[in-house]
Amino acid sequence: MTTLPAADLLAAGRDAGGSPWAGRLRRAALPLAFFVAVLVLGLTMAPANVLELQYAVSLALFAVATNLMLGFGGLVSFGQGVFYGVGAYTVSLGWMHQSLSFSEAMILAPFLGAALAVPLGMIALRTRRLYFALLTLALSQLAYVIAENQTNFTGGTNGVFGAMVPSWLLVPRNSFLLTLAIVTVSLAILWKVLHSPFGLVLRGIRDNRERVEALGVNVYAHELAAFVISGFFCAVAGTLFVVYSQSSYPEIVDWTASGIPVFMAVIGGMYTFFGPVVGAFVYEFANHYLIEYTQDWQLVIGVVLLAIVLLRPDGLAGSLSAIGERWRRRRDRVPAGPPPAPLPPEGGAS
Amino acid sequence: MSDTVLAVEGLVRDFGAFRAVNHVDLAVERGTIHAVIGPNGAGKSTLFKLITGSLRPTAGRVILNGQSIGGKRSHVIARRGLVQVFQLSSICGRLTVAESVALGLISQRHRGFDVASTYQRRARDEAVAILDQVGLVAHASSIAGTLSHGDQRALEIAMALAIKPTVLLLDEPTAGMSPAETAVIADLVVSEARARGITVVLSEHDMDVVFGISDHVTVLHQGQVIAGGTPAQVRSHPEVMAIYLGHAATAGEEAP
Amino acid sequence: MARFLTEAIGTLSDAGSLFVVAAGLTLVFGAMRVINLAHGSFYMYGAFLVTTIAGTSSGLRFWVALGLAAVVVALLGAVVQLGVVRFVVGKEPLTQLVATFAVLYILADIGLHLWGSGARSVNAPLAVSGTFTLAGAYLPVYDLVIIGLAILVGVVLWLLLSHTSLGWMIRAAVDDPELLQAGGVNLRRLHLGVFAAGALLAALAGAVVTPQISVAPGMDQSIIVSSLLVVVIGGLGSIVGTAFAALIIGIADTVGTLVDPTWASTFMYFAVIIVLVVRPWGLFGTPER
Repeated sequence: MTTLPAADLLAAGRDAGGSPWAGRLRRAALPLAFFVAVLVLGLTMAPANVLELQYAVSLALFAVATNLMLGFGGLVSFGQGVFYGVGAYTVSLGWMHQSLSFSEAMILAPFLGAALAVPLGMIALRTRRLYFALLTLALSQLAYVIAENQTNFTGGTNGVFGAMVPSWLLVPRNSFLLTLAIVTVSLAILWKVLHSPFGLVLRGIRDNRERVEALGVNVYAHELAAFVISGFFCAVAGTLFVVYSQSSYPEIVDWTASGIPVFMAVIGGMYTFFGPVVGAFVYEFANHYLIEYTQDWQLVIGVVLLAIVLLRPDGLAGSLSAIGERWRRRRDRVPAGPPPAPLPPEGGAS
Repeated sequence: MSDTVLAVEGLVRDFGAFRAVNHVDLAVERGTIHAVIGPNGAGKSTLFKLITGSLRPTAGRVILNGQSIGGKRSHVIARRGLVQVFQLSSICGRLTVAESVALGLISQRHRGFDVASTYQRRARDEAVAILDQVGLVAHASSIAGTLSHGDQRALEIAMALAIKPTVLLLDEPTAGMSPAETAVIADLVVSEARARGITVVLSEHDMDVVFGISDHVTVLHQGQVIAGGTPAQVRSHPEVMAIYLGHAATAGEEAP
Repeated sequence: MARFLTEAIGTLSDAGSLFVVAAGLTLVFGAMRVINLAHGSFYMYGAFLVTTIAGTSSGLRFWVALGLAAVVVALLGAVVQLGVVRFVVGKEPLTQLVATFAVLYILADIGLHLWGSGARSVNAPLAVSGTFTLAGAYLPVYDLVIIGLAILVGVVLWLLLSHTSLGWMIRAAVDDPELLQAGGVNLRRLHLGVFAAGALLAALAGAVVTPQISVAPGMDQSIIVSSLLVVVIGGLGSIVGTAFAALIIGIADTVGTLVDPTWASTFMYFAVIIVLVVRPWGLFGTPER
């Protein structure tokens, strides 16, 4: 019975319409259970592990915010590291140049991210598909080069290290709780946004932008809005990097760093809301433990990515929800209308 | 007395040295079903793309409700009331059928930037009502990409109806369909047009459909209008008989 | 004048090697509509293979190493094509980018096992070492080797693509593959050949620059960024565009260094942004639908 709510939840990308409180509760069951599990783990684990968990939680937000564009908008951005960097550097530079307090910087950073997303989005969204992916990749690398070379302002290659968070946040449990709280609220907002009319329009654009345009929707403006919202929350995730590491340095914005949330979404399943959360945890823990046991973590990650992208294009969550869907169909004995033509990108369970 | 809702004046489109559309004039009366026919390569698809703004004309104007829509972006043209259904089946494959129609409703109500409500769920009843008219109500919760070809075409028409068009432009609505599916779509077009007072402009290979449902037929040949009038007039037009109807049988079979 | 010549030759040499790498990338895209991020790995492998084969000798062995490295990497390219890339032809850009990025990761770790994490260097053969004087400027002879190679590659590619049936086949491979197969062309073999040729070009560029750079892990990731900038500016799939774009990037970098060293490395990115704002499909590309 437990696979059923899981399947529903993971299939959140498509919501079949009005469901009463019972259904809503069922939907909320799995994320709630997940939240409680993370909370309990964080409060009981050894401090060193808490920090790792905290980092995974913050990356989950980065991955979901990136997936707003990737899985819901069909916009392959290899440049979200720019906004992650804006978040991190706003806090660290605010501290270094003694111009912003920690809390001021935490509040300002997302708005700076969103503000920067307006001009960058206006430029990048003029291009399509592959050109968009490559242009955003270039923007990410541009941010890296600026962070690396403007030594007087950004600290250059070494980045900024120091006591930039208030002392109460140096207690692992406190910084974990702050991170979890901010991520939970952010994810709730993103969930709301993606399950609004805007979210539906975005998914329509992903599937078929010409069709949606012909229905009278200004596709460019909606894509820009998605870019800005994503920039806002990627910046939030960036501020949490500083809470985690008390530092910022150029490597967090380069193109491979921008690729990481994309990989997380792909691993977890980009057509579901929580897929990227799963992907973030899998990626980060694999990364963390692989580094302890083997030098070849790039090789392992590479093989895993290849396997998923070639064999399970819907990612882990996608596979799970496909299994759940089949199971539910069999239970309800609902023939899906005429013999359902296989939907190419669904990939399907074995 | 005559109420022209869509007018095309002196439309020209060149592709290099090739003139695909050559000084075409059309006047579509409000509330009628207007067919544009012609052999393959006559310029129908190009003409439709010029009308919907996905191609820019070399010369000429397109006038909708008395206003020029030349050079406008396609979502603006759709907003003004001219909505097209593409030649190739074109749906949002991962949305449910009800969501697809809700998409049209959201667009029509200007709620695309609404990030905080669950309007798309409240719109479900209205979406289901539209689906009922096109015979898809049983599939409301199915994923659009899993529908049969004929049902996908019907869904496209439902999506277009959701934004309450004045003019519905159908490019080969029955292409690739079985005779049964064709009949369903043809009936659907007629009933929707009559019930809602929507003007329909369609291009079509199937002559039975064209002569069965149209009020007015325009014949294109090599980019030019060679005849126009009621189905009966066009049928007996000597030039049409010579140039076009000789090809009709083969043209129908060639439909993809 | 002397200053100008020094800068000009240096710029041409940089643009030349960049052109050779990017030409391979755009060639593959032109025939298969795949952007291969592991292209940078082929470049790095070419360079490392030269350090292995040529060792410290600075004579004939260097030239042998150059050719051998290119051939070995072409074979590696064939393996990558058969093992991964052929499965993503025709897929979404995301699938292609993630799959080829995974290959980049995998090859990077294999490279670490083969050559370690330290930097290596190679001496150019004596015959092409040192400098020559022209109009009062002291210019590295080896720059002429790189420029010569770039011109050779450009001319050969141009002749192949515009004066043989191969060029027609490559265009048809994308526009109308069924027609091509009906004409008796084996599409898979064509893809294999083109991909191996692309890998060969990357390796050749990586090999030929070894005397001028320090060969180290990480050069795979940095070169792929510059080559992506080049092919995007030039228009994906266009060899002529790639040549122009390599020059633009080379000049942007040189001018940047002269104007303001702290901002120098940003100039090429601004060049990309400006070009794409004006022409979202690159200088010589075609709009993608």
